[in-house]
Amino acid sequence: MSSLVHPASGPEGQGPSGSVPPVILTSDQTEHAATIRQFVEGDTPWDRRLMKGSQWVNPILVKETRQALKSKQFSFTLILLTIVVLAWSILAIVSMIPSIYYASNGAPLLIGYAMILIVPALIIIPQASFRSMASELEDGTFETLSLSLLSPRHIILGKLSVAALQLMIYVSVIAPCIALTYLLRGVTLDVIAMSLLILISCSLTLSTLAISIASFSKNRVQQVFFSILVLGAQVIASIAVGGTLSATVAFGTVPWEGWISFGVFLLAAILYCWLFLRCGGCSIGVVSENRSTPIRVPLLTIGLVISMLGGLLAIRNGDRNTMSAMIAVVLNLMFVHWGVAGSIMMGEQGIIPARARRSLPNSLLARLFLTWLNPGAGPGYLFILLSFAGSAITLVLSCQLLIPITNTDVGLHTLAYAITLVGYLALYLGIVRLICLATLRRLQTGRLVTALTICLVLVIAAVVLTCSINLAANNYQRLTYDWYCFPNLFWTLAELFPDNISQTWNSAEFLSSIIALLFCASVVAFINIVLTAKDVVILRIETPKRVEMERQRLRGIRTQDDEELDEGDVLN
Amino acid sequence: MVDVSVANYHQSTDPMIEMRRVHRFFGKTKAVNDISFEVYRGQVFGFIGPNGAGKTTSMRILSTLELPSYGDAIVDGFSVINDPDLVRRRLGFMPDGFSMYPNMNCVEYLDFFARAYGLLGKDRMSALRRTLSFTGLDKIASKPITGLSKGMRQRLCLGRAMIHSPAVLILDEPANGLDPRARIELRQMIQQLAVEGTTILVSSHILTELAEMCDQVGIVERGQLLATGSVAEIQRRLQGSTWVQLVAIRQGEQLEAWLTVKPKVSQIARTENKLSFQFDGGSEEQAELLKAIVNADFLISEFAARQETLEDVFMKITTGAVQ
Ligand SMILES: Nc1ncnc2c1ncn2[C@@H]1O[C@H](COP(=O)(O)OP(=O)(O)O)[C@@H](O)[C@H]1O
Ligand SMILES: [Mg+2]
Repeated sequence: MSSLVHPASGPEGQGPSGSVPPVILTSDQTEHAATIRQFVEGDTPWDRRLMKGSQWVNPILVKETRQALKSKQFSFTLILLTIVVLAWSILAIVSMIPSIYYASNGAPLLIGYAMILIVPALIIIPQASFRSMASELEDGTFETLSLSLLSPRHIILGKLSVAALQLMIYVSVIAPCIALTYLLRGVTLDVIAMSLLILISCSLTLSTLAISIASFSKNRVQQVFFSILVLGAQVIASIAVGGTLSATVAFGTVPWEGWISFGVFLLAAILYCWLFLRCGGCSIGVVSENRSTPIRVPLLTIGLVISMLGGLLAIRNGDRNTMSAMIAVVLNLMFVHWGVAGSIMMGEQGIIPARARRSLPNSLLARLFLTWLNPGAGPGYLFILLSFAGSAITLVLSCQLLIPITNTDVGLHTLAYAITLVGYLALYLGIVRLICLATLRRLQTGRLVTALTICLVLVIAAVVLTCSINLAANNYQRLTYDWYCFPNLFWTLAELFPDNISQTWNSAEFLSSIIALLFCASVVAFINIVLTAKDVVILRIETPKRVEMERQRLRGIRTQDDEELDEGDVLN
Repeated sequence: MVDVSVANYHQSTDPMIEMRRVHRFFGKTKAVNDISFEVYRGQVFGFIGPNGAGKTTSMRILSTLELPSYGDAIVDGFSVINDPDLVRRRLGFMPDGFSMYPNMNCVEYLDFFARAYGLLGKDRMSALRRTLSFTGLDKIASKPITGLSKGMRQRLCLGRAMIHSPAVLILDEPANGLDPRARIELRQMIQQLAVEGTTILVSSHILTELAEMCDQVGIVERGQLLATGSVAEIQRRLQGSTWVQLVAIRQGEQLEAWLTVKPKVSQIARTENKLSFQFDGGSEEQAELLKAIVNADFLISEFAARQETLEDVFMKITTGAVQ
């Protein structure tokens, strides 16, 4: 009589266990094995070899090459490029027919090809790289990707190698035509080499920047903003490269200064690409990792390279009159580098994640002396100040020692200029950090951009304020520098620039202004250092045994993998 | 100083998945509000709750895609906060959405992830074979993934999540939007994986969908775990009572009066000769009661006891409040 309803009847009235026969593990494997084999191992022996080789290559390169071969955009661009190149060749040759046997016509033809190549190399490829990375983050495919063993570095380098491969294809389409320009005379080999080098290096640099910047964007608004930024950079770069290429080809040969300048450009491009790639990798990396200290390595390297290269150039080219001005220019470059990097760094959160604390120095002495390498804004402030002050003063002193400047005033002025710059860095970065500490406690994302914005606003506010006060004090007639104008760094530095010495340096206004600056800077720096002192106290956390054992086990495998992957990468 | 969040040694009897007082707040929304549970090797744990309960957030925390605001989650002895890279090696995650790459077919898609998980040579080939035949995708291996049906997409996602034979699989609403046949097939696949030793965490907003394949379920609402245990346990714990329906031939009023003084009987409702009441005893006491009624000369034509269904239990536990 008693009837219990079954507690769990299946969905849609299905019985408890499926009445449908199991589909799994019953499919005929042999039937489909051929299809799978075709895709994974390849059909023909040649395919098979290619597939076998491809497993050492970055998986992203393999994936995106497969996608590109099927995508309309890539084939469309390639066909269009071929058509345009052919059309330009025919047009140009037809128009020069009467003179083709005796005149040298290579130059205009080469300029044409270069201009055509600029479009895919500097516009399409970097945009595609940006979109590729951005859509990965936007569509959520990045999340599944990040769960795999591909590190952020592998993902970014994979995207970059895709850009490199595309560039190689486009360049090889145009290569036969460029050979033609050589046959037509009028261009030398070094001009051709230089043109190609400029195009290729600029294209890769832009792609690197595009990929890194795309990986910074955490939401839709940022993405739009960054894409406009990248597009702007591309347009500017295209115009600049177009101009440079035309000038090079028209000049007819590459002087040694040209090679030197290209070398300097290349060095700068490589160093900044390194920095940006690191930043991109850190921004999409594991949150609990120490994502700050790794970035300081390229930062410090760039700072040192600027100071050493600049110093060398100053010593080599400067006569006694212009040397201090050249050193001041180098100091300004270093100031901009450290200032921008520093103001971004001031937004870093002071909290060191437990994971990052595993690698902190442990002994008291090491903690006292190595704390400035710790992540966070406080140690970052010390890092920036020490790096800038150290390299700036070393630069000035070593120039002084190597080529004694007879007029001791000049030497002193350069030193004073360097110290003033240090003062500004300490003052502004210190204030930015204090503001961030006071107001951004809860902010989780966008801290770095906010810190940079705060710094810019501060500098601009100081300029506006000092100028208006000064104008008011002078009855709106003129601007005359006075001691209270020291927060205005552009004005002060322009007045102090070691070329200007004769009128300015000895006046009381300047001395008092610099003393005021240094006083404020020391107060701000002192407060900041006191606030940083607590970071010295942060202790290392021991790595758990099991984690250590697992990592040791993996290290054996990992290093092998890495080597293999690195070998295979087109552009590591 | 030793990091307390990870045990120094991890025994095979230790849980594979462990949520330790995990909290996750988005502004004022407490998506996950103090959830703790453990899942052991080879177990299937069902995570059940209405939409917005915090299932996805909890699973994303376990998959290292989200950081907890407080607390920690441990997978195979490794913390998702401190060693997410080690967690990722032994974990497969199938998100509730499907994000795909254009211009790819199923094999290429799986092949890409096999490469991304560092599988080389013969390993990659056998992983692909195994995954394709397990998920039944080998029939459509060369189909572009943009044109796949929902069921096939789910299979592809499952295939991607298991390509590296992870010890832990996390499946977020895998049965969502599938037809009954596909659901049953999915259930069979999950059971098969569990038999092979994979620890599985699977979520759904329908309790009955999971009841059969899960060793344990946890019912969540508004970021809190309201009940955990096997389905039978939860049912037992929550339903001390049975609903009994009685139809007497006559004397309904007298029967009602007779029943009111009986122990364990409550909430009597009567329409004419039809009675229903709540009975707080086991089935033996229930039989005793029936015997007593018959002995008291009431003429009974129907006696039906009904335990609450899973849906009733679910409705009873959850309040239906949305945040
Ligand atoms: N990234 C986020 N930002 C803000 N709120 C979120 C975010 N993710 C989830 N939430 C909120 O957290 C709550 C739980 O969401 P979720 O975990 O997706 O629930 P479920 O998967 O159980 O449906 C919801 O109220 C949701 O709105
Ligand atoms: Mg969900």
